[in-house]
Amino acid sequence: MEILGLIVSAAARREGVGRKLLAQVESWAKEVGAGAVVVRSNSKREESHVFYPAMGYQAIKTQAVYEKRLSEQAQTEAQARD
Amino acid sequence: MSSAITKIGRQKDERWRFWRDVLAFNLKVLLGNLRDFALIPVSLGAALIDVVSKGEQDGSLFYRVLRWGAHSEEVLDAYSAVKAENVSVNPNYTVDAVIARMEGVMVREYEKGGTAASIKTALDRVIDQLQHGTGGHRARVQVAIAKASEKLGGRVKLKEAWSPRTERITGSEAIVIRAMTETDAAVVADLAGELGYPNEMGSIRRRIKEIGGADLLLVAGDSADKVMGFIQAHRVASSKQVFAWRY
Repeated sequence: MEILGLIVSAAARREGVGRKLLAQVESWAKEVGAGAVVVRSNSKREESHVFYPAMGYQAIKTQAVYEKRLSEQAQTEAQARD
Repeated sequence: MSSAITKIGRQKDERWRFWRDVLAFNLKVLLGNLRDFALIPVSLGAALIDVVSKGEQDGSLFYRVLRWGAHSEEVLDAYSAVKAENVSVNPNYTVDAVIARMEGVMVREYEKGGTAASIKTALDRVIDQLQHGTGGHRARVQVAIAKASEKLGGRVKLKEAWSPRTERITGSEAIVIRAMTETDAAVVADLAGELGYPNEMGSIRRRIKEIGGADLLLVAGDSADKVMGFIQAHRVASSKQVFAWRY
């Protein structure tokens, strides 16, 4: 099971919202027989790297993402993304 | 002094009206139920007679029974006590609208030469849309149940099974976890924007629709259904990978 996105409004953080959402995913994962729940988080998301270990998640790997821009349009989009 | 007496008199009137309405409503519901119970065999019998002996038009007897039922509904007028209040009904979620939508799906699939499986899939999709459409109301009902359970001192235990469900945090505050619907697109776009991922509301709405039930898409709202966060998770289809690997 992989978490593709978890966002909590800045105004509602530290109120247990993320914990409750995560609990639902874990509950579903158990029900469908998934062995683990995996989540990837950008290294710059400092709060996430406190949150997930507090929820019992263990950092197992650090990855680098490579990209080759194939067109000018893709370059523009990537620049906007950066 | 006189205003205090007037106030007490008004309170007594209101109390009397309340109990009168309670008794009248229950009597009307009881009569309505007896009528409905009788209407099942009567309407089926009328339909049967219509099939066997053709009258002036198809189902003339059956529709006469229906007209009598509609007339009795007006006579009973069970909700007369709140008739002055304008209670709006979403026309998309009346029983007639739901039946019409399902009927439409089945006719379209039949015309396309669809199989039983494709008809079932199409009907599932309609039911999912209906559930999404009523998600907000369901969430409010869940909050009400949680609060009632809390007031009863935890004597009432909600059934423990996996479903997006209400979970209490502290006191009367509640976080409601429910399925994300297309109507959440705007707030999802705002939340994504907060994190530095600008997204068009329209494309988020389209993606919610496309993803459907394939992924787990949940939102967390407060007791007024104000969305505070969301999560998306999906099952990793490792069986389709050519080799096993770990993240």
